[in-house]
Amino acid sequence: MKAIARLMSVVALAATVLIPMVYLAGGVELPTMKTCLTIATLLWFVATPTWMGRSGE
Amino acid sequence: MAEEFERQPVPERALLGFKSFVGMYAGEHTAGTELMIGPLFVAAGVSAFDVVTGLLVGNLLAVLSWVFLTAPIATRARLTLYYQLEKICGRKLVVLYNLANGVMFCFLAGSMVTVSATAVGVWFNFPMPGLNDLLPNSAGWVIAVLVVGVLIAVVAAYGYKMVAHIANIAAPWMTPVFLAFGLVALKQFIDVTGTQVQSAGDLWRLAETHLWKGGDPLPGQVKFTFWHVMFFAWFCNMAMHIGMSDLTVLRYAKRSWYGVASATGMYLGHFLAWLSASLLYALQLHQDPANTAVLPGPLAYRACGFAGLICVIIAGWTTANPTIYRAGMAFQAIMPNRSRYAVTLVTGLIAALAGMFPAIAMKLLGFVALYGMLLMPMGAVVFVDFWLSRKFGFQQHYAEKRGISINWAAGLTWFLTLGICWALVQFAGVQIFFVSLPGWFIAAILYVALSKALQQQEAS
Repeated sequence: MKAIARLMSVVALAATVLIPMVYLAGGVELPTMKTCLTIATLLWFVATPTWMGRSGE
Repeated sequence: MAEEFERQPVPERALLGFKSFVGMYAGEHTAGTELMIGPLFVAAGVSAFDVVTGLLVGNLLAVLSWVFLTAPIATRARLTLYYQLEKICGRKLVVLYNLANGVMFCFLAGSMVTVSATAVGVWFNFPMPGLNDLLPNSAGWVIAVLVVGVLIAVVAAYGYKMVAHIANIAAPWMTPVFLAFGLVALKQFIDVTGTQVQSAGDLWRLAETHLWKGGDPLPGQVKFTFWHVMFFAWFCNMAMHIGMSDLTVLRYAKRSWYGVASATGMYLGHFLAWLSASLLYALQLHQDPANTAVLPGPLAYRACGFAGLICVIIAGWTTANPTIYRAGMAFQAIMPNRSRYAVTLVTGLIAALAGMFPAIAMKLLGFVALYGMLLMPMGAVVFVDFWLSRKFGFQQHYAEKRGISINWAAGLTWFLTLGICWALVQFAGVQIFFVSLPGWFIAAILYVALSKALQQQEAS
């Protein structure tokens, strides 16, 4: 379960980094970029607390 | 930092590795206030060359200050700044130092509350302060700051560990969002100016002609040159490196070169985040030159939507929280009989009141320079006492050895240095951003001279 959560965090972080770059390159429009960034943010804050800073880590 | 070792050297078993400091510095210096500082550079009429090279050099000097001034003492003495000051200056002077530090922390936390409250303004659409506003300008603003400030104060008092946990979780996400601010603003600049960016040269031309154009500052702002940017970047954390408050952090470092970890905070927070935030504001000015308000909430929302807004709230909240907590600790050292919770709560409420006044956030560049200057002389005292006392023939840790509650050599050094710095600013035309450099040397010379004189007088 934790492995899945970690993977989700990695995907969320990668998306947060990459989506604005894709926008800069003209690959997506601003509203799409904002929506993707919001989804990545929610994913990060849902997935990361389940593994980061937990005892035994 | 699990155990605190407040009155003993950190033992070998409690030392921390390099990675602990990399994460800590990166998180601590990507804060809500970065969203104010970047735009204020633009308001100060900074040019592209001055801001980029000034930040590169100034941040390097800051890192070198941590590496060569703070860390060597921290890893040799392994004591908190407060305990070292108590040994050198005596208990009463440390109380005064705590008071000054606590008050400045309160105001700094107030500016972070201001930043978070600007995000509330996006939802409720009340009038928010302008660039030159000193007083609150609407009932909505007052209510928003009070609500945000009281929430932060309560959480700082009762849920510090929970917020520290949220801050740790948010930190890796926050840096890319700050980067996103810059990328989105850059793309919009390219679009609205119709610039074709095919090479680094094209990008630099865009930076010089549209992003950081230089020229006159906005009304009410000080013109920033390369030297202003460089000194600001170097001295904005002066209390921590040259002022030695990070002795408390770096005493856990296995090696003194771990001070280099501060580069993560400097180049992510004080380079990337400042430039990104400044681009958001430059874009706002480009689109509407009459809209000079520096409001991180609306700026971030326009660029990144909901994610940007969350970033502003979390950046302000998670950095105001430890700042209020530290201010509470400083005040509690003065009033040890009061509970930590009560003192932190009252401290947070004072910060909330301070946050209501936009003067602090809008004049953040000057405030941060003042903060560094105020605590800098005690850093010089610690440095001289540690490295030069034997060479110049006076006793190290004089207050502890003599059992006195105030070492007047240190006290006079502090007050006289501040007096001289104030006179240099008021009468000699030296701007506050530069005065701390001569101030440090003045403090060092004064401490040597006064220590020798007072110790010889007492011996005879």
